[in-house]
Amino acid sequence: MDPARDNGQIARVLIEMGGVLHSEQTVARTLQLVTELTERTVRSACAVSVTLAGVDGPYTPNASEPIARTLDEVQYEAGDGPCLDAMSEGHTINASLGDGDGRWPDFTSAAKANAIGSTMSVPLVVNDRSLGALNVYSTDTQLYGEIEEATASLLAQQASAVLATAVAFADATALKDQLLQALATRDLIGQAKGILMAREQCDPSAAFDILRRASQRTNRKLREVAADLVRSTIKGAAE
Amino acid sequence: MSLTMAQILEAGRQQAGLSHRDLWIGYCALGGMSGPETVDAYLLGDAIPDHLEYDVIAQVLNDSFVDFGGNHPVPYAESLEP
Repeated sequence: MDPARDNGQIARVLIEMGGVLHSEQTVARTLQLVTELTERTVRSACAVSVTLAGVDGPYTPNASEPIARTLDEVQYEAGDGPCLDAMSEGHTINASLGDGDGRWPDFTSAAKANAIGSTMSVPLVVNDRSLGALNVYSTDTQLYGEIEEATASLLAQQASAVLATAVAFADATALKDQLLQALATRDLIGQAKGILMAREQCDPSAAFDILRRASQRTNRKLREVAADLVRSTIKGAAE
Repeated sequence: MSLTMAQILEAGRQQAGLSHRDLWIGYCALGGMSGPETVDAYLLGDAIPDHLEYDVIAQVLNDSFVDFGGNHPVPYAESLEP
């Protein structure tokens, strides 16, 4: 072991991860970097993945090796496993699979079948919210040592911060798209109300009522009713 | 009356699975002019929407139910009249 070399490598890793925010601000790129860097810096790691808590349950957005994804998915399917425990309990699970303590039977069986001897899952926590876990698999049946656990925790902490920012960025992008679509719909409905106000000599509120009733009568969305009206008016004007 | 409106809208929001933010964006898309805090207040019963405001929110909910095969289950203001 060479602490100076380890520290130097970790420092480079952190600088590299910090750079993610200034280059490609996407969750996918961030997680890819996290898994690659963890595999590179945690000794004895042979495969690394990230589990994220999704709306439809946990999923693996990135894995350094296919076996990591496979073993993650065995856990999701079984509904139990070290990465799920790390997420729900909020602390690191460091387990040798050789001791046969009966935990996670499906996962343990699949791991052993693939020559995996130990696993470590570190929760990715932001503001007391568990976003997922960083999973490190090894062919060694020894538990990960204190230094390896500390290194993984450090990377997980950094990953959590980057992930939180990336999620916030993705969220903001989604909001922007939603608002742009809302503005387009609002414009369309404004046009439809204007047409009705001119045609029916009514106020905007009454024009909305006419659209609303048509939507209810035909069981179609208001914007579809409005789009039809605008389209037919344009067509009528052109003829 | 105001509590009933709030309960109807909040129940509809939950059933439609819309977040408060999504509901407000939908409300803006249909021409709503109030901020998200006001729309939240309508759903909490802390403010009373006029009929147009209520109907715009009801329409957002009913539009989202169309995707799931529902046929305008959220009543409009006129049908809540005593």
